Order: sequence, then structure tokens, then C-alpha cells
Amino acid sequence: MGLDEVEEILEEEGIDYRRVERAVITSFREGEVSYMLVILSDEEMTFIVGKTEPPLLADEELAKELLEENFKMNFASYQLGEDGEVLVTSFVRNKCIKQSFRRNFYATLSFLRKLGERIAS
Amino acid sequence: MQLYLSSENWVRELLLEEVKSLLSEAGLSVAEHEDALVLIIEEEGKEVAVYMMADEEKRLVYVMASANPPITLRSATDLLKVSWEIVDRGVPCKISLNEDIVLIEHDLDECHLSKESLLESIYFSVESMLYLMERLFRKP
Repeated sequence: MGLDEVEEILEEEGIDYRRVERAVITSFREGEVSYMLVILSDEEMTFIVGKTEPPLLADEELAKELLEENFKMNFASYQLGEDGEVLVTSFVRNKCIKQSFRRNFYATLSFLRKLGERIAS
Repeated sequence: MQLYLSSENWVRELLLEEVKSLLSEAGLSVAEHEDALVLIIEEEGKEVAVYMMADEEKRLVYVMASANPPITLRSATDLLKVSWEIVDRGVPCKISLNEDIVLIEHDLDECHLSKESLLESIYFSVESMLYLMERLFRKP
């Protein structure tokens, strides 16, 4: 249910994507950095998980900055994967996809771009 | 100016009143502290304080859980890894740091401002904080 609406929104936005079973995947490339967003959905909720390629590995100082950034920002947040790479996640309840998905998708992308700026610098 | 501030406070109260009313419908009574509604939840000897605050300009309600007494920062990388563990279990989670105090936060826009979503956000934030406390203070 959630992913069909996600596909509609991405099409409205003119964003290329591919559907792989129960996920929608889209990616962007800017210079040397790529951003991949994987959108997963269950009965109640739709999750967006974003990552950069190459990955940005966080040390203690960067992790603290990301935690502080999480407090200031809305609709997405930074996490660290098992290997210490920075991930961005966001979620929307399925009943609010039409109202809230587009905003959360772009928030996730904006968080990823901030990571991309760090990678490029 | 006085009129403007009064008007803004009145609207903020309206949004918090809505939250209070939704919680009351669910049989929960909350304490009020400054601009926040507060729930204290105790489970297995651990206490979590849930604060609900409104930002009228952004039309958002924040549900924020803190351990009671609060957890302060020891390892930022550990916190963000535990946050991913929680998300990986299918529970939305945002861990943040406010002046060295660790919080679990859920941001609710107007579409998410229903009794069901509010209770779910409180439940998720408390569960996440209990999981975080367990992971951070687990004896080796």
C-alpha cells in the first residue's frame, strides 16, 4: 500500500526509481558522491534509509556533531551502521504518506548532501 | 508586542491542549511543567520521563523521552549505532543530544497528531530509551 503511493509521488516529482520486491530504490549522483535512498514499507509505516557512496565513517567528534544536529533538525536523523558508516533515516506513517512523504524524502536527501559536502571536502 | 506574545502563547496552548485532550481520551493524565506536558513511566526499576512540547510556528509536536535521571554522553558513536539497531528492528528512532543530555525524539506533524499516533510515539520513545539504557549499561 505505502509503496504504490511512494511510486506515484516520485513520478510526480520526476525522480527515476526502481521497484525491487518490497522496496523502492532511487539514487542521485553529484560529482564524486552518490546518494542512495531505499524506501521500505510495512502495513503501518514507510521507512526511508539513505546512504552515501563512498560511505562517510564517523569518529567520536563527528558522531557528537551528528547527535547535536539530530536535535536541531526535523523529519530525518543520522545513525551509524555496524561498520561506523553514517546513515540517514526517516519514517512516515502510511496514513500520512500523501501529506508527509515528499517533505521527509527531501529532508533525507538534504541530510545526505550535507554528508556529501564533508566527503568532498 | 504584549498582545502578539499573548496570542502566540494562546495558540501554543491550543496545540498542547489538543495533545492533553488526546491523552486524556486514552486515560492518561499528565503533569504540566513550563511549556511541556510530562509523563513518567516506570518499568522494571527504570524510569523514563516523556516530555511533549509544541512548536506553533512549525505546527509540530515533539515527543521526547529522557532517562530519569538523564543519561549523559559517554560515547556518541555507540549511541548512533544503538539508534540504528533500534531502527533495524522496525522501530522509528531518532537519538539526539541537547546540552549533553541524551534524548529519544519523535516529531509529529499535524497529520500524525491523532490519539493512535501520539500513543504509538510515546510507546516507541519509551521502548527505545529502555533498550538504549539496557545496551549502554549492560554488564559484560
